[in-house]
Amino acid sequence: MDLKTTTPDPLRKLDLFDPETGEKVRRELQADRAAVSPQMLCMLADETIWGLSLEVSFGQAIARGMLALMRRSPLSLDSYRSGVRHAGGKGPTLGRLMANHLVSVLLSGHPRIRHLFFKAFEVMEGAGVYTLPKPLEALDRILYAEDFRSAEAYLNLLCTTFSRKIPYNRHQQFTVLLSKAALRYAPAKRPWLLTQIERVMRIDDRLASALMSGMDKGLDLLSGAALSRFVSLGLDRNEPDRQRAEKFFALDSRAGRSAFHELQVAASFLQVQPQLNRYLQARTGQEVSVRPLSGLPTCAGDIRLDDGATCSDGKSIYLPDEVDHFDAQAENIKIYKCLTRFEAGLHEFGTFQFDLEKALEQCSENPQCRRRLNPGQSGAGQADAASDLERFFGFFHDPLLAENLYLIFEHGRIRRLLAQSYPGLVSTCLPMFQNEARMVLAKGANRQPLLPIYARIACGLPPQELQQSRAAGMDLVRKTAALFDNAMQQDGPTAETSGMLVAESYAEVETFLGRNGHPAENGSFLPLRTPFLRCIRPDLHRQAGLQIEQMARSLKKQLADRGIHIYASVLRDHLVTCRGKLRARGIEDILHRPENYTRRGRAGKQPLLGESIEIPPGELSAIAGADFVSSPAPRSDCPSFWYREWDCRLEDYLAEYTRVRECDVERCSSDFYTSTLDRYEGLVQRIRSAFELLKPQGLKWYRRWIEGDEFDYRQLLDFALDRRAGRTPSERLYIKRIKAQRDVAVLLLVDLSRSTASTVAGSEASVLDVEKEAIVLLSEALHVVGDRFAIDGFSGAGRLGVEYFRIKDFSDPLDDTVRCRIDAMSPRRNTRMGAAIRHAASRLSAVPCRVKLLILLGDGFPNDLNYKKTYAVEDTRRAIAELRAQGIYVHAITVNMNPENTLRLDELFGDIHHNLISDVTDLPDRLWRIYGSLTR
Amino acid sequence: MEETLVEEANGYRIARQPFYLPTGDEFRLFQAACNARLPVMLKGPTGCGKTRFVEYMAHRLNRPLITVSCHEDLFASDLIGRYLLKGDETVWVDGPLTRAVRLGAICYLDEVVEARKDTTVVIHPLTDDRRVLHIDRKGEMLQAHPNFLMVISFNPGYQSILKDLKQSTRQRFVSLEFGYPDPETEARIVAHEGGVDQQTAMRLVSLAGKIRGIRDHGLTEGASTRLLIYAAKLVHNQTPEREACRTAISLPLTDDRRLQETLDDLIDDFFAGDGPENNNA
Ligand SMILES: Nc1ncnc2c1ncn2[C@@H]1O[C@H](COP(=O)(O)OP(=O)(O)OP(=O)(O)O)[C@@H](O)[C@H]1O
Ligand SMILES: [Mg+2]
Repeated sequence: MDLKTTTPDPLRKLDLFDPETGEKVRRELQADRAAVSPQMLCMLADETIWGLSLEVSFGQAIARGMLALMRRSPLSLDSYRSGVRHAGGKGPTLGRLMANHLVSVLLSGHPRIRHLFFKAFEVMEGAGVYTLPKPLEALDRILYAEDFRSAEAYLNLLCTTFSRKIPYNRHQQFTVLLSKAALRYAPAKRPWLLTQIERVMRIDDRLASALMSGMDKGLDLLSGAALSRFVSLGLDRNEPDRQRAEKFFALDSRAGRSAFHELQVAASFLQVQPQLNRYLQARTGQEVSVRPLSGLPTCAGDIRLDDGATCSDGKSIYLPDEVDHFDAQAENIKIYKCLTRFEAGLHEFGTFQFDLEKALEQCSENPQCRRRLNPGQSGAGQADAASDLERFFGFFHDPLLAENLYLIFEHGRIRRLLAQSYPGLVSTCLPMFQNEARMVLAKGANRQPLLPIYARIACGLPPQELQQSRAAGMDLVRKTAALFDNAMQQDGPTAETSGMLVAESYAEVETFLGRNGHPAENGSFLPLRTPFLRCIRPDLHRQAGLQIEQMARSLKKQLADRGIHIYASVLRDHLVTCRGKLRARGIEDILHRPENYTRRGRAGKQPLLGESIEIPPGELSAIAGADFVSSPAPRSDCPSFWYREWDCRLEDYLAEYTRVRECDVERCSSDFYTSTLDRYEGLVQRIRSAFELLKPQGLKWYRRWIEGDEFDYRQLLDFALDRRAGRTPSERLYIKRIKAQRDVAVLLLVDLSRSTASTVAGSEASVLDVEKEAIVLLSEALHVVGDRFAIDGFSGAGRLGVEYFRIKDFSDPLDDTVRCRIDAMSPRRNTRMGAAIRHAASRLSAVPCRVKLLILLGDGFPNDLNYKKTYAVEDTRRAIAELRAQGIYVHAITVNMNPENTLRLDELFGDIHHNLISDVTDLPDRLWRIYGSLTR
Repeated sequence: MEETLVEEANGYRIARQPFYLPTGDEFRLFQAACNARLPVMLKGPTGCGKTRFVEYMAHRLNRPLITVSCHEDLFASDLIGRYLLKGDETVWVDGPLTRAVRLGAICYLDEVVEARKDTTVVIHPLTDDRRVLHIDRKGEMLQAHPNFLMVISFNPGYQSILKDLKQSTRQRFVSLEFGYPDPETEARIVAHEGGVDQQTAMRLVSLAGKIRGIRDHGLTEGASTRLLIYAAKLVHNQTPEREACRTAISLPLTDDRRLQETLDDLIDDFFAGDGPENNNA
């Protein structure tokens, strides 16, 4: 330590000690020659050399840290040095941790954070050095994000946690849990979430873990005050009973959940998504679904409005991830509902079907508009990529203003049409938009010159109200509204009507804005911010339908070359409905409707009704590309079947997404079946007699029986009458009630995934071998009782490669072929359960039996390529629900799995609909029993 | 004898013309089948007007109508008839089918799949060109009256496969397909039967249209005209519209809570709450 030496180059000694590090430092310094004094360099050299002498990586960490501080916070170098010296004195590992992580702490410049950091470091060091790295990495990231409030709360939490006297493995868990949690929470909420965890941690670490798992289930949606209240409730109410408190915090108890619901104010997207999707499907009958705005594809340069803006593309309605506009959650949920309801109107009433050509035709009929639309002005540069709407806006001097006007008229048009079709919807939802508009107006409308027009036309606020709010330009509002009302009088106003209105009103609005000093900001005006930020985004719609758009255009051109002029929007719609798969029939239908022709087309060539137009398929496919060929040719001779799959992230089905191929099992001949029967001889006897007795499902009345519980009065009458008439009466006078007539079809679906190859403890046999034995025994039972049954297996890899093996069809006798096939079942690959279940369903539904049952025999959770965890579970659940809706019972049996998984299996199959048999060797004796009790 | 038959037949005539709006070609087709003495099967979902149609046609053709609702415990003898004791004597009493065969009435077997299998044995000779009824107990072969017409109803939609009609039975009938009427007609029906104004009726019908379009949610059959009429009747009796719809439509249709939620959402789209209508501009 030689601070006062004034050697010309303080780094010399470092060079001598370790040339590599010296070189690095020099390079760094060269990058920016900041005000680095020789003293500093000297300190750097000394400290680094000291570090290097203990451990190379330690020294390098010091060099890095000091370089960073020199540049941005030279005054804290002393603190750094003493901190690192202190820690390094206890060993290089500890020193390195300090050298690495102290940097961001000092850079924050907050004394309190520095203080807490040292405290936490010491506490964690006491608990064991192993507790340090993970949590400190998380701290770095929080600090670099400059989220100091979170950093403070997090450090407090670390202090509290690691000063608890708890076992090693609990500490170990917390290093992971806490750092993950801290990084997962939304930054806006992170401080108070961490504070509450800390608060509970002070009392009991198990409670704290429970609270954290509660946060994963939605507690993190609560506001700060509400969460604090929730925690207090949980602590007070469950004072003596720790276990109850744990359940409360983890939202596992009813009390916890109801407290949570009461406190919840913000509504989150995830919470309302399923309901909104069901609603949308029911209302529109189209495949429209809602998505969170955070999932909006961001494309640089294209986002012009605030992030929170509700909008649509062709298939989805994007809604805010969270709404906390009102103080009551019910109200916030209502916002979601209203937004969805109105936005669905855009899809229903064709906002995105806007056709430029139609609009221009309409405008040219109107002298007012004709003058204003200067075709020369059309933004020719963007013509190719842009959508019809965007091109239309390009006709105007300020496209953004045109777009805003279109928004006004289009929302107005949708409001009017909604009021006609859905009076209830408009009267419940419109007031919300109106109130919001009132509020914004009251706050100062002059900052938003277009808002009064929007309020009048799109929200339908009465003019008196606007006058009261002294909004500027009442004249303009009145005129524009009159234009609008007039246009709406026509039958079925379309998106093009709104376009025409834009052209009609544009000049006047532009003049007004100019006169009122609004063309600020680069000659453009302040764009409209609608209530709840609803907007129309033609760019999004274009992106969603890029391919279709291109096809439509090329199709239009091809037709035009033959002198046939059809509106692009008609072709687009058609391509959407036929999912891009063009057929000659469809095009012919279009050509036979006069209204599909553009004005030019109406004057020109047009086929007569009934006259058919020959477009050779070759040409169509040239237009439509490869998609013209309907479906991909299936491979080889295996019949294949296509099924949809449920995508839980989209909350929607992916149509025709999986391909199931029915494959043959390799033949073999063996005596497996009979040898199994021999091996289980005693059991087979018992099974047979048990099933002999099994005569289930409902009482059957037998009339005209020789004996029974009751007289059959009809027969009794006949008896009396026959006697009287001297005939010999029948003696069948009774009614007998018996259980009879099993009308059951059961399909046993066996999971043949690779894991069934694993051997069973204490034997040579594999899991599948034991399963096969169980299948043999069940087959015997079913044979005795006479139920129709089939056995199938499945496996495969990838969504297009699901393999399905038909071992025994319902109609197959239980003969040697089938017996051989049972033996031939062998472990294969993965488990795409949903597809296999759907295929099994289609097999079951062809059997004419009253009771249908699918038994799923497997050894694990669904799992395949891109078919994991929640996704796989949700699709499987969905498939099972589909079966239940078709009246097929589904029962699952899972073998060779840890009982800990019961809950997850409950979730997958429904708790009364499955059995978990952890020891597969129990299966042979269980399977037939389970079946017996299922069909008792 | 003739006298009493006529009198008896009159007892089965429909006195007042039932209200029925045609939804297609059904009058002409039914009439043609009737003239050709071909038995008729009415196919269609529940509550779409099959029963009402038969009543209407019986009135229009001025035929007596004898209706039998079939159920699991319906025996052949319940259709044909049996001996009864009267004092010391045994008397034969015709069942409804025999009566219709004698009187030349329309015999309407509602929900015929519900009946026991042995009833079909009875129906078969009556519904082919023999047109005879075997009365086993009496050893009689009864030739049907020229005006006799057999009509059965059948809801193919969600019958269990087990209860499907045998081909040999199906192929004895000409079939008229019934669906829900088109919206305008249906609204007129609902307005008339339920006693509400045309506008409310139209909303109910639009609502039903949406419900009938729901897929994939486990709804076995859409809202029937009958349910719409029920809702209308409730409204007519001062029930608020939304509540009426919930009581008469969403609750009867399903027990699934989430599906009910969706149905209620749809109801809200068409019917306002208690607040005043907000329809300016
Ligand atoms: N075309 C129609 N004209 C007049 N009323 C109709 C018409 N269609 C349906 N209805 C009304 O619908 C209601 C139900 O009709 P009906 O009882 O005939 O149904 P259904 O088809 O016989 O049903 P189910 O199969 O359940 O017996 C009746 O009240 C009837 O007024
Ligand atoms: Mg009926």
